[in-house]
Amino acid sequence: MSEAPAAPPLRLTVRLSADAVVPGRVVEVEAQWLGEARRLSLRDDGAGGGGDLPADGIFVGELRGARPSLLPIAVAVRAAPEAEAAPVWSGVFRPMVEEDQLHLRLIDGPGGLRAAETLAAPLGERADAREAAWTAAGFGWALFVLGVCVGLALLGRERA
Amino acid sequence: MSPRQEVWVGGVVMLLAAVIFTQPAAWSGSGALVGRHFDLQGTVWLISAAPRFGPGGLDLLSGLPEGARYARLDSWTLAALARALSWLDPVRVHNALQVLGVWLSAWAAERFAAALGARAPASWLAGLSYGMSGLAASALLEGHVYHLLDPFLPLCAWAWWRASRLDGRAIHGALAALGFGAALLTTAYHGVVAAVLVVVIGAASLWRRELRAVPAGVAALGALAFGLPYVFVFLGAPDEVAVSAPVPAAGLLAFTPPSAELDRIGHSLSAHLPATTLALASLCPFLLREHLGWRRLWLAGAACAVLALGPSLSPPQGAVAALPAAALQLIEGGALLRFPVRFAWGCSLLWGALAARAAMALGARLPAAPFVLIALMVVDLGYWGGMPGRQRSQPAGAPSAYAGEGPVLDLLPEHMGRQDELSAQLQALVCSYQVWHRRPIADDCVTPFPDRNPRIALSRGLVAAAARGEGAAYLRARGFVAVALHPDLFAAGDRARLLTQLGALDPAPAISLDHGEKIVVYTISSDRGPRP
Repeated sequence: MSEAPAAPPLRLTVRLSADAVVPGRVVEVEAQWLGEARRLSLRDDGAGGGGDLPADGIFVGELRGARPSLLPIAVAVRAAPEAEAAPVWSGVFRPMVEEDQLHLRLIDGPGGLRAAETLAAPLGERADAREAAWTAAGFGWALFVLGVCVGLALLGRERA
Repeated sequence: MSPRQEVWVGGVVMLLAAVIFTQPAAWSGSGALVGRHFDLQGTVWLISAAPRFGPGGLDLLSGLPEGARYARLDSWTLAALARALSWLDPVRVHNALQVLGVWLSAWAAERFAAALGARAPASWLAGLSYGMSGLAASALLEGHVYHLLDPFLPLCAWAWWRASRLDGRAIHGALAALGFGAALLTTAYHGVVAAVLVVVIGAASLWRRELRAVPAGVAALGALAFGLPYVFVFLGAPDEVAVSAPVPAAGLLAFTPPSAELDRIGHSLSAHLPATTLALASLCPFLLREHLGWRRLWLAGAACAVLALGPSLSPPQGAVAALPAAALQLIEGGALLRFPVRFAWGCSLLWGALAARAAMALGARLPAAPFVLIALMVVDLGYWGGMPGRQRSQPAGAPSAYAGEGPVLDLLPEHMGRQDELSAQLQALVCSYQVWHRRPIADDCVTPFPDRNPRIALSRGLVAAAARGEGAAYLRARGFVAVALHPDLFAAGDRARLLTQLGALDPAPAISLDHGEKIVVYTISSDRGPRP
């Protein structure tokens, strides 16, 4: 059996976004972290860390510690601080990097509230727009390279 | 530089490029698994376990109680290398193969370009294009190191290109068959790509009435000698894999630079072709007009590109157009080719070699041109391809609670939600632990189907038996001496129940929090009942 190396750290930012801002709503996260149940209330008052902005409908919170291989997480929402907690999402998160992120989107559907995992979405920017911009820039680069090659060919022909 | 010097200088340049492209693999040794996704753990397990496989791929240390039969391996080449290098630490072998695989593949492609008439430094473009393509990056990140062990595809392409010309000789046909067979044994995808190259180049040669009977016949016989046994073994394996999910439609975006999201949720699977390769390949009709035989190579590359798009193209409106790869689904075993994007290995090789030859043509008139193009290629690979910045490392090792001897049954939950890869992740994790604790386990470490993994049924049985207070008897009857509980992964109620019920097996279980997971190992004392 090998010596256990120092566990790498993990700073996990959990974000849950909702289409509408509901006053009094509370979002709670429970993570089973290396044998310890950790609870966290996500904030939407600008104090949640991880770039939290007040009252933008995005609840944010951070968990820190030694990086686990797999991290079971459950998320529940209360309509008000005293209201009953409604579980909206649970799953097993696999941390990839020291500063990782779990993004959830709250959906108010016919069956009630639930949440779905979404792609990385930096604040104020849609993930698909970021993807499209990257791909478009890649096409731009390809055109630039083609232009350089054509230019080299024309220059070579002139010199020949 | 003389041609002889170019061979070795090309080798050194490709080695340096491979070390940079795969870093930190070259200096990670045995302390860290280099790669990003969970198949990496399964690959390291295979490197560790393959040396002990018996006839028919039988492994008595996994898939307990009966053992597992791994007759349908992804890569026989990797299994053979693992056996030859069994005296080395498997993590060290894996990390070293990342560098060696990229290096040898790139060098072979560079030599293929040299055979087409490209001289250094233009020929280096071929090595960079093939050995460090988007698919090479995917293989590194996904943990499919055997996809990188392929200097055989360049060998096959070069030898068949020579064999299919008027001056082709029997030795060229034999080498083409050898390249095809070795590619097939390395991974089925490379074998199928080699077959596509052979068919397209051969058809073009026939069209121009250049294909001669002797080299073609030698190649055909050699290919049959490799291919037929492979097909019989593969399709006749007892653990025939059922493929139910449709092969996903692809698109041109598969060839564009990979994004951060692809690494996060898409298994990093990208066939990113460097823009420099594409630009030069598209200028081949002008730059290589007088070069003999470039069209057939270009066409073979194009055929691979079209096949890489998958069986259908799905525009946003939802209409689906059938593509040539759909025909592959009709042949026996074709449905197993679930990642048609890997056909792009062929175009990265052939278009890369032609790009190098085109750069050589440019360099003949403008000596600085190859250097400019190499600089563009470096930007392609480093910035747009994102390597080596996308590489990650994971600490290597198993939780210390596993210390001990005898078969151990891992107790993990079954997923019930939409995290459809969770079972595979757990399987990879448990199997990778075996690399270090070396105890027999219940998992079948290769099957992608949870219902074919013996651990699942054993876990269900153990949970039921433990609830009746018969856990120890259940484990003994199946040859296990310990159960390893992964408590964090269970829901709170199940966790509490299992901790209580399994506590009856061993009041002082081994508990560890190292290596990224809490593990509780309960060992059955031998005086609590007879062994079977």
